[in-house]
Amino acid sequence: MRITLVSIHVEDQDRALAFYRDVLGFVPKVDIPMGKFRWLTVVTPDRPEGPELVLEPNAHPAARAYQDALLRDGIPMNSFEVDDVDAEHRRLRERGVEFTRPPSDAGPVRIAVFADTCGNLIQIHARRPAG
Amino acid sequence: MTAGSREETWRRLCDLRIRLRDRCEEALPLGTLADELAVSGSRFLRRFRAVFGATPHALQSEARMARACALLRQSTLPVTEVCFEVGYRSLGSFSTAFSRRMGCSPRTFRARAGSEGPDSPHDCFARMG
Repeated sequence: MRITLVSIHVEDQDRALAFYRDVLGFVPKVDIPMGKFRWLTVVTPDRPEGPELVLEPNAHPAARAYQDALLRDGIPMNSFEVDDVDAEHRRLRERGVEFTRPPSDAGPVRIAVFADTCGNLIQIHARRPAG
Repeated sequence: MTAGSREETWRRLCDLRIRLRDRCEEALPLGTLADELAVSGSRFLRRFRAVFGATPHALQSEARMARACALLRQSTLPVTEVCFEVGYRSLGSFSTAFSRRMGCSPRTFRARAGSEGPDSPHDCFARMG
């Protein structure tokens, strides 16, 4: 058994692709039309065979309620690993991304949290050097 | 500004977004909201757009169209009633907005609605095998 798909609910798949590809820098992997939605996934640029992030429509009312509640309470839906949280924060801020939590230390990691324009908060984290 | 009021401002921003989606037929309450949050209208709009990816007006229109599609597909309400139900005051502006977004008139959309695909990609998992 292997984990190869991870999904995140999004309000609008076109907007999601624009953000996850054009702003964050992930690479589209699968894009198959499915009725009024798409089976849409992106991967890490230098790991095309790594886990795929499924940009999944939040068509079910319970998915929307779940997203609403976490967003409202400031809780991130997922966390992506980066090399340098402060550098990513600068890069994304310049691209108009809204952060709800600026770079800050949290135990063994440094983190920051931003809005993904699709109804979620996303955290980025980098391990802090030991010692 | 205290941490408490920052959280409160964030919640109100989220609540507005939820309201635009779930009560899309209502008029936009923007002036009031920017006043309540004590920020200028343009600053408020910039932040809203950065968080939700579109202006309040665009998100409201999106929600109105989604609801109109559902009503056209699932109910027998006349097109005029669908138009009022989702918050438009004239059939002309509703039809124009609908055609621009969906690529066909509300009536044509309803006629074609029988051939719709799955509503959720959860259905797609089943089809992948």
